[in-house]
Amino acid sequence: MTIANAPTRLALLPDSVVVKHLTLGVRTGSEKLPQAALAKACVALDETPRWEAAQIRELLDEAMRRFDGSAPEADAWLAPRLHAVLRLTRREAADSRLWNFLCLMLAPDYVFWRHLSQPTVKKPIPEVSSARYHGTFHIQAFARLWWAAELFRDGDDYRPVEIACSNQDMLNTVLRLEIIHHRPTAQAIVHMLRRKVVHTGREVNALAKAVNAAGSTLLYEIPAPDEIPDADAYRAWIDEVDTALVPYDSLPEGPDDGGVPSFAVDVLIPLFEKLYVDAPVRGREQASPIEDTASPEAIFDY
Amino acid sequence: MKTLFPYRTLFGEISLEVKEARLDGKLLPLTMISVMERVVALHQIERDDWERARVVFRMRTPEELMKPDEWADVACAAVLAEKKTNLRIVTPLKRQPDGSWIGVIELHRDWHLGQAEVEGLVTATVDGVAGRVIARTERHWTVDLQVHTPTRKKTVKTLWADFASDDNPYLNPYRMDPWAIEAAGDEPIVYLNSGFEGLQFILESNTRADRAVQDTLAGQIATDCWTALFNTATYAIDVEDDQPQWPGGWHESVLRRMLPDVFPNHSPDDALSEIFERRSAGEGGGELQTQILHAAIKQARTSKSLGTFIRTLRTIAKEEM
Repeated sequence: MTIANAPTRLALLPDSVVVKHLTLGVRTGSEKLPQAALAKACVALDETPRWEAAQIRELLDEAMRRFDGSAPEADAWLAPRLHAVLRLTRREAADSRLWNFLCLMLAPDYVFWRHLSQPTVKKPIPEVSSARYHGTFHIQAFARLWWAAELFRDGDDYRPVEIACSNQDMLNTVLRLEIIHHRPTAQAIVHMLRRKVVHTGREVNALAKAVNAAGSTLLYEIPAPDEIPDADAYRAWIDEVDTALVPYDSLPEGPDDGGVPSFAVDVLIPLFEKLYVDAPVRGREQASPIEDTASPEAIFDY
Repeated sequence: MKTLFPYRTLFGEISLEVKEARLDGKLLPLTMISVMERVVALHQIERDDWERARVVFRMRTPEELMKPDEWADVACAAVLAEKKTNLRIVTPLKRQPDGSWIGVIELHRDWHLGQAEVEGLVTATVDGVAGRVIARTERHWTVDLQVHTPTRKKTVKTLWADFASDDNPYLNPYRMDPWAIEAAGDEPIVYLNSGFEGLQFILESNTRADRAVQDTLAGQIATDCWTALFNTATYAIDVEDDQPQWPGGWHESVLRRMLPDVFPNHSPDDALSEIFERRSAGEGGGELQTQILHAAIKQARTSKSLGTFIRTLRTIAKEEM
């Protein structure tokens, strides 16, 4: 389903407007969003080709086609491609109004398709959590994918992003931990996931928590220093947005702003493996079927 | 929160200072660096298009640190982090002949939006583990991209707007109200209705007679504002491992300011748990609202906060004209 009159250009939609229109009816799909009223409240962006909406809309349509029936699997496919189509500085990506616009104006149907909850006893009518439309960066439907791509990419290489986004706990829990702002740490965790040293969501959580806890007394940058990314190269990549076509069947190329030093990742992996061995994994000892209820967003995902 | 270290840490105090700051190579005037407030203001009205800023930090460490038999592989670093842009940059500091440590942090405008915090750390190899943190600065520096005077932001942003105008469709529903509070975004905003007859006149009047009315009015706006902010902030509390977490940003500032008045007998952490429990239990009890209103009035009437509030209204009004 493609919405009629999809906007041709991106804009900024203020938080206050979003909050007002996210009624239960909208979240359960029984009511339509008042597109005209929302459009009036939007703040226009500059007139460069950067803010054209068509490529993003096509990308989302393609994701819904490819992953119909298995929506969570769309994340790993979409995250790198969304990042490559929507070329933003971190400064721009920190503006929640842009994400509001994507969710409410450009692709509310995608949010619905991807994040509609399963009916439960407490909430028999499936709904989309309002945090998926308007929420912190690691929960909001599109911001989480963009930031996952930004924080897990290795320079222009998006392969680590695919691996990270194929595990929901990487998105739900790990994405918000400050430890992954150190790029070698993020790459080391992805590496362990790729080699299946950690595999299930619980294991990923346990590893991340152990690394995070150790990080309060250990400065990972000392044994594993990173290179500072090249801001000019990133800018140049942004400026190429109107000439670059994002492929669907192969991975696009990210900004060539410098890869993560591999020796730094290699130093961290044995350290993290040791931390992980000592870490308690929920359910590893006792075979309790209780799900991890600490992250409520996980409930919406399956 | 204090971290408990499972090893010996440095006893003496370490301090961090800004030696100089440059915007695209141009030296930032000293008035934009406040040692008292520990803020570097990077917003200059003349140049909003700067690309990179370089801030030179100097750290001083106690002499105990340099005893060779005490600490091995000592290193000092300045850590810059901005939550909104998920950025963290660690800059090693180099030891100087005078014993202090110096390093340059480079900020790119593309990487930052509001406030970046800078902290100084000292590390050493402890029990064979490299990079153990043995000391950290108690007070952070803030590098602020939004302000042009180096103060820690304490007031709420206030804007005049005509609520009935087509330019402000989101304010149209409140066109008959004198003011409206928007607390949904990253920064709360108080809108004052310039279309509300007499409001602007009273708030901007300089006569002594209007002063009393101004005070009362500002007090009332402030009370409304604090109540709304507090209620919004309680919804920003998240839970991790069954523990309510301080939400960060303005939500946290508001809670930290008002919770002691809402629950006078609780420690800050206990008060946070208490308010979270009350909220999730769905117990919108009248008693709690009374306490919240009490805390709001206290915030609003504190002469300083009221004074600042009025001053803000005035400066903003001037800027908007």
